[in-house]
Amino acid sequence: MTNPAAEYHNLSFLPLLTVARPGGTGSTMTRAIASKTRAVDEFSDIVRDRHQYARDWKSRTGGKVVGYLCTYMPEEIIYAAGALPVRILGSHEPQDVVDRHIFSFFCSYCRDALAQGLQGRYSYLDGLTTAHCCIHIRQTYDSWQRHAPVPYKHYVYMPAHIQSQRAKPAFVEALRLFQTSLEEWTGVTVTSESLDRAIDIYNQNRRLLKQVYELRKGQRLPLSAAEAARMVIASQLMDKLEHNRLLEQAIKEVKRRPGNPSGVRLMVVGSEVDEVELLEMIESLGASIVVDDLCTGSRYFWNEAVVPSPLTGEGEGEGEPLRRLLSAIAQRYIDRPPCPLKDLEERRRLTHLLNLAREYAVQGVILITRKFCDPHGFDAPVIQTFLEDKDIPTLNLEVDWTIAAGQFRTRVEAFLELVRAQIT
Amino acid sequence: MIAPQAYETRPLESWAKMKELKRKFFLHKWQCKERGGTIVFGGGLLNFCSLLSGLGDAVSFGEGIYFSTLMRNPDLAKRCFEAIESKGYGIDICSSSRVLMGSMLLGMHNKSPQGVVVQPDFWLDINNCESRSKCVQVFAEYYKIPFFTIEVPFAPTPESREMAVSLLANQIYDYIDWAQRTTGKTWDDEKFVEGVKNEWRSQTLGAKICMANQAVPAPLALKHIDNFLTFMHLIGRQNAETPDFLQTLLAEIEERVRNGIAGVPYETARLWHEGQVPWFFRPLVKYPEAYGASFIGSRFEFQAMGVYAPHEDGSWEAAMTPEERGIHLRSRDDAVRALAELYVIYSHNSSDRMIAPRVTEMVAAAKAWRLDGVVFHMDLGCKGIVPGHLEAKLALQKTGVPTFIYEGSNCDPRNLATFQVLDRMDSFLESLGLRKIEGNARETGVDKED
Repeated sequence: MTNPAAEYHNLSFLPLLTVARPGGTGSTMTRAIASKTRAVDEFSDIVRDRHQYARDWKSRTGGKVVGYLCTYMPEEIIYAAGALPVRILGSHEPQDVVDRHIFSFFCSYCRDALAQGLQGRYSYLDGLTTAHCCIHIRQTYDSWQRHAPVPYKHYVYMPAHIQSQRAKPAFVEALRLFQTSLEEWTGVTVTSESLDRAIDIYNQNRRLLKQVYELRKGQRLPLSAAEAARMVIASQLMDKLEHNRLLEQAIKEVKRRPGNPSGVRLMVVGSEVDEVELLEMIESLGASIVVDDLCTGSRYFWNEAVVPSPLTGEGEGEGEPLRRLLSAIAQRYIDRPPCPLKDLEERRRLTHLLNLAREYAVQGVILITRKFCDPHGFDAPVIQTFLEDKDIPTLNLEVDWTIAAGQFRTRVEAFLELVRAQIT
Repeated sequence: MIAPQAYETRPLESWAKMKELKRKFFLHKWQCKERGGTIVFGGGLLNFCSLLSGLGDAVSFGEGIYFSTLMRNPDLAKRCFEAIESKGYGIDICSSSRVLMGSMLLGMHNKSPQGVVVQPDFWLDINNCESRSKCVQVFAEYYKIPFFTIEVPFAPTPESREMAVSLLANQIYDYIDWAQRTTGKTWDDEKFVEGVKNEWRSQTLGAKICMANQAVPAPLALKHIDNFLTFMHLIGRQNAETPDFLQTLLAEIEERVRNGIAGVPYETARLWHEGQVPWFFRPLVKYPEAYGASFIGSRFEFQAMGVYAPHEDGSWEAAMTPEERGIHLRSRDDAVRALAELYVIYSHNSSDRMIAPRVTEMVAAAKAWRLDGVVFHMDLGCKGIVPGHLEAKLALQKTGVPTFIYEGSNCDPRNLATFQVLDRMDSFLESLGLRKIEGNARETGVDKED
């Protein structure tokens, strides 16, 4: 059976964002986006009006929207099943609904996500999924389902011990189970063609986002950290095909800019940091955030799924091409820059961070640690010591639900003074 | 006010035998190096003990030999916390990891109070907790010793069970190869098979002991179970002495049930403690005895004691060993599979990591153990055990079971306001219709004045 959303993924439409829903006049969101002249700014609208975007997508495609909590979620499979994967992000608004369900000692992202679920902010979701990561997210996933049930749910077991040769076969099997479950729910068969295509679209998105980051390597910076962050965050919210087209347009626009001389070149390191205002505040103090290691940043797109070629070969059984695609997806998530939770045994993160620092000529690093997060909490002192041994100054900012902007401003100012003193 | 319900009680006859075995194995561990044996560190080795059996003479010191000493001395523990916090580790991360890492920095982690240093040959990280695995990384780097991680997966759906069992089994095979290379010892399959059989027996007997406490009056109090747990950890479930002792103990407990012998003199209210009892304040589990109430169980401790066959409705039943199910373990393959199934299918070690079963099980446990109240420890020091507490509390309240919450920490004394907790505990116990029984407070050995 075919699904309108799956067909929608196959449409070739330009300019993408002026497409109106069939038989209609176009949604509010679509019209708002279409009236914009600068593609770069449109990401900002989408991040701000994320719920409206998803609702519009549903109404114009008839497809299902699947929320997810952790970026180890293999979105390609959801996409191949004709659904829209949407990452649940923070609202950073005060609330009073979660404390009877989740301990206040849990990370603010999980509490914030659950609050929004219970408040009905994501009432348009048809499914809620997560990939195996931390106990906090499991609590959010469960309490959400318990008190604001979503029709479809699935927990993808993404092994934690990814250094083991045994992780990949297990993860491939978990992906196969996920694929089957999605097929049963959506009524759409995930074929090797549709999955191959989803991988292509996702890989293209990763390449484009990497191009955006490449633009921040030079001494003149054509875009701000906040603009780049919104592009990545929008990617976690939008149909990737739409995002790719908008991103291509945005890259052209950005490349035409003369660029500004970079300030103190910083890297930010952390987890889910969607508080773009914090990045703006840091840059307003004379710094330039040229690269990051965040799951709302580079960790999300840094590597591609590499599909062995040719996809089909003689003597292979039925279903083998699909398995090879699932295997490529599994390898991609195993190889991606790791979240500290999965950076076990020999640490890969340290080398990766040092490489980023050198590649982007980083002069200082700000760790944005989400309070109560154990894996990041364990890594932060190790990263600080490691980088400082390499003469890269660091600052650890501990963030909660909302940002203490005034305090942070003072601390960042002091840190920048220290960095400037070191580099002059 | 409810009239105190008194029962006949008497000391456990097996107690002396347990102490004798503890003494014997304590020395056995400390003399390991002299015998040329292998010393392994790893917190998860409270389970998976049979992974040592194949190495012949090998013992585990858990995560550190000094842990219980630190926990009995809050001032010393605070020094450890301060030592690690001065290195940039936040107070919001796992408290037992912090105290252990702090003791490492102060040179107290692998050294006895008498100054004897225990150098582990390797660290085996049983990864069923994200915090612990990150902590092991720090230890292994500090000691510059090899370490191996075995992830204990769980099956979020029945369809994924085989995936999880295979993942665990395959990692065990890898560990066997790695352990041989690392220690230079040849893996002894015969001893490994024997170890797995013993581990299985220990786990099912432990579960039966906990199940026996469903009787009214309960033949044991939680404080007794606490001691049995320490015994199992010290001796190791893989050693035949553990299941042999537990078999004798179970027979004695069943005899107590038949004769209505209680664990404590009064059982006017049957209470349950959810979460870890603070290590530095163990007397807390005896506190309700002053009111004629008794803690008779804890999901955390019962799960640590044994393995259960899970039911859809959340109720528990002691699991059957492979032999009891007609499966005979003869080879390495048999043993690896049996060990993997033990921890993926039967142990709450893995199933408990989803939240929904915790809630269902808590409601079922309240019914099965005939509970009059449940106390939840909102543990600032352990994010692995706390999830589901609040949901379980809501679910219990719907069924009419009174609940009480206190905030504290299993390891960090700075996070437990003892007086406040005991004050509130008084109110909770009084709300159950209980009043202090004259003289009983002193007998329990714990009071707010302590």
